[in-house]
Amino acid sequence: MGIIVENVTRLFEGKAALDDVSLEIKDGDFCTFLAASGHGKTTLLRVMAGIDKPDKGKIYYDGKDVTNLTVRERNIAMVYQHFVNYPSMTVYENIASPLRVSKAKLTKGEIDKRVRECADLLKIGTLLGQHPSELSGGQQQRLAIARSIVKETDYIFLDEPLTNLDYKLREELRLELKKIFRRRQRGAVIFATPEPVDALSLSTYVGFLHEGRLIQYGLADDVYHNPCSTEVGAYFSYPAMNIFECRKMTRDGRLFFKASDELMIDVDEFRDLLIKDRYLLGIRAHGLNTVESGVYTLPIQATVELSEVVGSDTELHLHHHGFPLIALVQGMGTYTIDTDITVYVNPRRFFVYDKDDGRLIAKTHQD
Amino acid sequence: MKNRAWLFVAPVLLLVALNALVPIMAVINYSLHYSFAGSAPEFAGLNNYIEVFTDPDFLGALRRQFLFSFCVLLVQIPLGILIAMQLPKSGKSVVVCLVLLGIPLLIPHTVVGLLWRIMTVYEVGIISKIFSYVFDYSYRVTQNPVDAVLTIFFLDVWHWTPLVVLLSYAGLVAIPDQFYQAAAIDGASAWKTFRYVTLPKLRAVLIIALLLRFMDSFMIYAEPFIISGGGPGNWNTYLNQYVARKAESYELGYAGAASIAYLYIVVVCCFIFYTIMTNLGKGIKR
Repeated sequence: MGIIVENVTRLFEGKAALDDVSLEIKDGDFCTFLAASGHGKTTLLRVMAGIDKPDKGKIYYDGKDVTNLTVRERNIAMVYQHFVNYPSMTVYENIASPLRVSKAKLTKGEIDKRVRECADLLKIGTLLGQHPSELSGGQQQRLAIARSIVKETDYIFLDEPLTNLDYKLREELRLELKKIFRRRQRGAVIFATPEPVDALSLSTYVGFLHEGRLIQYGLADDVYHNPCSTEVGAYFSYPAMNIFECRKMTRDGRLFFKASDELMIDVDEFRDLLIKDRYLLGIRAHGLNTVESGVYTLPIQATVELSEVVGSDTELHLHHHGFPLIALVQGMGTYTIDTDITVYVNPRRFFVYDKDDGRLIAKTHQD
Repeated sequence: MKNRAWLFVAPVLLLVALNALVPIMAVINYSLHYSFAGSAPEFAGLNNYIEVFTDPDFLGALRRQFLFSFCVLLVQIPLGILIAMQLPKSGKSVVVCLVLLGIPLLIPHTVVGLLWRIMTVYEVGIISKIFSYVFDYSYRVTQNPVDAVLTIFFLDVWHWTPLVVLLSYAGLVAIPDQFYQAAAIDGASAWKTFRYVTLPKLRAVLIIALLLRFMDSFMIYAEPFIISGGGPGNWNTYLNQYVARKAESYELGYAGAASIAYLYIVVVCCFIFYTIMTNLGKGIKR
């Protein structure tokens, strides 16, 4: 039971906003679509929910073809990036509204019970008499979420619900979303976000969209640890993955990738796979460190271009032999710009990508 | 130097004073005196006002004026919203529609009056002809009160509904599509969607539309004057024309009192509308 999307294409002004997308979402999943804006995640949600019709392809809910059913005829709920509530209704009326028009006739008492439960769950129980315009942004979005869960729907679509909130509220609501949707017994949650952190912390499944195509779809951990192309790798990392070009060379009978005189990576175990002369190497920022310890064994010289503190870590923007590198170092270090430092690289954390089509060929580590 | 600020504001204050305050004070001054052409004005206290509010002609004009404005608003506001909702939301046709709708707004009151006068001339004008050929009804603006009143009514609807359309349209295109999607997902009917999404979202522009249309219709002058001179009888004489008529006959004290009463009525009505509209749907805070 769940949603099946079969070869769906959706055109927008002649261009494919969704290009031959196929996937399956099972009941109980929290499925996240990750993409930069304009790459089709909202379109995919709209098509799956039935707000837009696909130009090609089919959508199945629980094995039933719903491609031609309107959104009214489907049992779904949706939360948007903008805070969408009925402006003239109170918070209470807003939450009750999906119940009032639903096919299952509920008594006044049942509606009241459900409304209060939902409001308490979203921590807006004390605001029931107010109007949406009197609420803060975070409270308005809580109200919109309460409206989406009050009716027992099979599928809930969340279209960037955290994007318009400031940092603190986003963190807070993200945690709560996790709690709320873990309690749900039925259906699935489909979530669209441009934030890799949301995708990692909330979802069981992650789909990565690029220019309307579903590049990779799978278990969240799996997608994170095996980004199948440079696009996925670069986007589904925070900070972005370092990707640079390297040349194949042999030293002492073993096969190496050479990015610079210092940055040489042993890839002898993939000898048979590597038939081309040049490849792209990818390494996440936490594969680089400023102290030599444990796995960080390969020293290289780099120039500090910028250093910024992110939370309790330091993000170092470096320059090494003509290409940029980003290192995420623990602790709040102070670094002087334009000085040369030694950076230690973990040589067992590399992804090897095809230089021409960006496909993942191999990685130097197992998870 | 806190006082220096006044120096910068002074030109504006002067302009506003000359523009609004001085004329109003002059009128108030008139309203408190008996004034006849050729003789010195004589202080009258509030007698002019008492006379105004006991004058059946004034009260008649006021009643007609309220009825007229009420009917005009009752038709123009819903009709304007309805037309605005039928307009295309995007594409090249938008410009065409808006320009076509805007044309009546560009025609001056007097020209509109003249156009409709020509169209309603007995047995010659097109409206008059249509009535006699199609309905076998002799349509006489200058003789039949019903014809005269309805002519002014439809003239105003034709002339000013586009303003409501343009304002509503601006409000409508500003409503994000997600609100309609949310209503559809909830399974709301077309009426409920209109009632709980469109109307509340249009409130701000509707306040403006309502106030503009009320003030403007309450001051109608040129059209009934040109079409039938306010007749037949007093049937098409509204407040503006009534006050003007008094001033033209040099009853300046009386006309002044009537003007101030007129202004007061407009301001109070606008205030009431505004208060009602801004609080509508806000509910009582628990």
